[in-house]
Amino acid sequence: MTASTHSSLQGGPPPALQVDGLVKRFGDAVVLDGVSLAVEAGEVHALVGSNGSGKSTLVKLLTGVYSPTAVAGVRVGGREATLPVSRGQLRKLGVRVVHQSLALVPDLTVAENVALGTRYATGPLGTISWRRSREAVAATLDRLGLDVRPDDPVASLAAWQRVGVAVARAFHGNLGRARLILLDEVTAAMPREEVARLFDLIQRLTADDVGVLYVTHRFEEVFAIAQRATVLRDGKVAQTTPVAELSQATLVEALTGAGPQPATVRTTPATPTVPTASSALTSPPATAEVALSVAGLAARVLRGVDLEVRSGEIVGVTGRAGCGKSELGRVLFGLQQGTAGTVRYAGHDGPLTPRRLARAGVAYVPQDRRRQALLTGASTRENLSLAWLGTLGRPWWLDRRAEARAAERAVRDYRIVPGDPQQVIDTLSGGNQQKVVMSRWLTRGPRVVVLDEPTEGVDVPSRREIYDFVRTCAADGAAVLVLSSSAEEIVELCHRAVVVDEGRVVARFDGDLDVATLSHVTLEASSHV
Amino acid sequence: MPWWGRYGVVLTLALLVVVFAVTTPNFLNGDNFRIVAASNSIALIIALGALLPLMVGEFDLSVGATVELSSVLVAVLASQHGWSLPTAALAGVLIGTLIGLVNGILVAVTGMSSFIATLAVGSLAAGLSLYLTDGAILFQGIPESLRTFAQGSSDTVPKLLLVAAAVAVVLWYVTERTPVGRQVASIGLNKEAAQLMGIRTRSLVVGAFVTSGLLAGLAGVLLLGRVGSASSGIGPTFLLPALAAGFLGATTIKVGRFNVVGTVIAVALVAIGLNGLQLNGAPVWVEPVFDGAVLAVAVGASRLAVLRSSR
Repeated sequence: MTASTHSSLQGGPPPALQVDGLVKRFGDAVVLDGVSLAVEAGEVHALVGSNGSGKSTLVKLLTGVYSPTAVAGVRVGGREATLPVSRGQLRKLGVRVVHQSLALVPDLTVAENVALGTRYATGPLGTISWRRSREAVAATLDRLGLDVRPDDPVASLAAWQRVGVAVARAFHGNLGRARLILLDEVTAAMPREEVARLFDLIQRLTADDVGVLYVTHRFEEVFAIAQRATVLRDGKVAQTTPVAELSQATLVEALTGAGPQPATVRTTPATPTVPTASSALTSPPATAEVALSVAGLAARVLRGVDLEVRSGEIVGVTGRAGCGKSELGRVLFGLQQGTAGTVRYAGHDGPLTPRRLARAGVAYVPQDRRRQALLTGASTRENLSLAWLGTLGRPWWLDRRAEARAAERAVRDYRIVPGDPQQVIDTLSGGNQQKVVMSRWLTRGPRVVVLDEPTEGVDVPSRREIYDFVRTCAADGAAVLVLSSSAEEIVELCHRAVVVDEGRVVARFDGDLDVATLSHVTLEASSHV
Repeated sequence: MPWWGRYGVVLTLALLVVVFAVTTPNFLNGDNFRIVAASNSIALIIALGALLPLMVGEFDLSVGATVELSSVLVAVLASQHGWSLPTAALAGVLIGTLIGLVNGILVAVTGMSSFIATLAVGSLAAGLSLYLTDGAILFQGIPESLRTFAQGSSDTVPKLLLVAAAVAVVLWYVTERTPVGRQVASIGLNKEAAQLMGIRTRSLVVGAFVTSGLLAGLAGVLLLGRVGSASSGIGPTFLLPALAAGFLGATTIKVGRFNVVGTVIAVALVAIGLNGLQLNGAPVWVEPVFDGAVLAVAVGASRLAVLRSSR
């Protein structure tokens, strides 16, 4: 079903947003493949999709960060618009955007933050009139029913109130009529009990026929706030459905493309309904050496995690954002101290520091590629050889021929595109950048590999290739730990998996993984807290 | 990156040489070359030292004060305490190294901003040299052999240039042709990524500051010989040209990256441009104006080139 067939009732106001046939390619990778979407006036429309579904690309296209490869048409409140749009054009069209980061200045007051987005009210001499600014801001806060004082410092507010302030800023001042507000994962770092209060505020927004496009990765929120939901999967609209006709089960199904799931999840070891790679995986013998063992590990979020990974085995750790799986990776690689419990690597004694662990054959691929893994501005060759410097030539002489050869081999073996190692890494697609980051470790023949969200922001074909590399690495005897919020990824890649929530292991799956069951358990774990 | 972005500095240098060669009678002759080379060799050594902290993404604002303290210390030890030249010179180099070590530890171990740490340490060093000189200019008892070495004779290649060239070659080799050089560069590009690859970032940051201090100490010793006297308060005049050369050098050869060859070219560009202007009777205030203008224009143009190519 395309969104355009869902157009507004005759005589009603035009849709707040209507997008048809949106296509975005990065090089050869099609990230959005003809996406159509309509947000009715006065409706809260949820946009859901797992990592790599194209959700964040869609948001970036709608906010003018990216230019579309092709688009059939865009209308905002019935008015024709063209992509890409500038910030100023967005405002004129009546589109308001609040991102997850909120972009508030914590040390300034509510009034100052709100006025920053527009303009301070001024006195006759052009100086800021604080009294009039405060009054104007108070009126905006009042309209949204947000019970904070203009003089409160933003740092003192609760998470939902901060989102409210960001919304207030989006609506403040003489910006003309608002048609659409795009809320991009604004509850990602919010305690559950606060979400409900934010939802009251969002409902109030829809009063003046403003449409809300609510981007989220929390399923339960879809049911709590939205009238309709659009599910993206692999760059296409999987479905757009009234929420009243949805259940959690059908939503998971739409997200993952899996068939109907069994009624009782925990007791039935469900038959896999998607072609999984498990069949291609040769399970390691249960007698293989335990390469990594974690016992009673606690840290900031973690509260007693036990885990073992044997050589040749791929173990998945899943759970929603903030469950502690990323922290587990950081503690394992010595980037953060645990407060209790033990971490043991076979064949490595002494303190856990990145340098010692890297030398002992432990590889760690962090989640934030740009900030923690890439040498931006340097070539693919330099990015690769960073991991091999100890083996190229002598301490007093870098063998640049050997370096070039090794880089060319890695580019070929790991199918990195473009195949020229001299290319500046910034110009590569996310998927190819990730292949560079992975291959520089994997070529070292690591004994333990910890991967944190290994395919985030990676296109589907590259994802398949990365899975192949990981499988090969495990087959060569490495113990692999995959930290991922994607159930599909865990199922496709791992022999075993654990589900973590609020720092604890809440479920263990020894073999027989399937997407529906895993998603359901993850989901249940998070909605039961 | 358009070609004029990558080779703009080199071409400007060539253009200046051609223009002055044609317009200025005394520009192209051996004596002028010796004067320009000798008087800029010390600046080059300081710039090369200050380059290493820049390469790991930090600033060393103490180099000027270090040069000053080293030169004052050597003068005091040699003239008032009867130290022989080699031991006094060694003390000058060591005091610079020590200052570099303190800088490095403050930055790498305590996590202080290098801006603040080296500003503080530089002020300490300047205070110490003021204490040693008590505000006087020290010109008596400066070892004669140091003066002949640094001032050179009128018919040979200046020894200072040879020292500076040796420093440049060693630094070029280490930064471009050894694994450690790559590790240093990776810290400047992305410190966190370097750390996650198991690179000992702390030691290398300390090492960069130590090298910077060592070379500033060496420059101080040579400066004493060249000027023939030591006084406190001269440090700040060495700081801006050194950092400017690093930044200017990063706009050429390896664009966007601090590099040795670029820095050498940058020092040459400023030296030759200034020399040509002075031969044409430019007054003394032209020097800082020229320094600032070249830096702003070159770095600005290079930024524009990068922007244009990334759009």
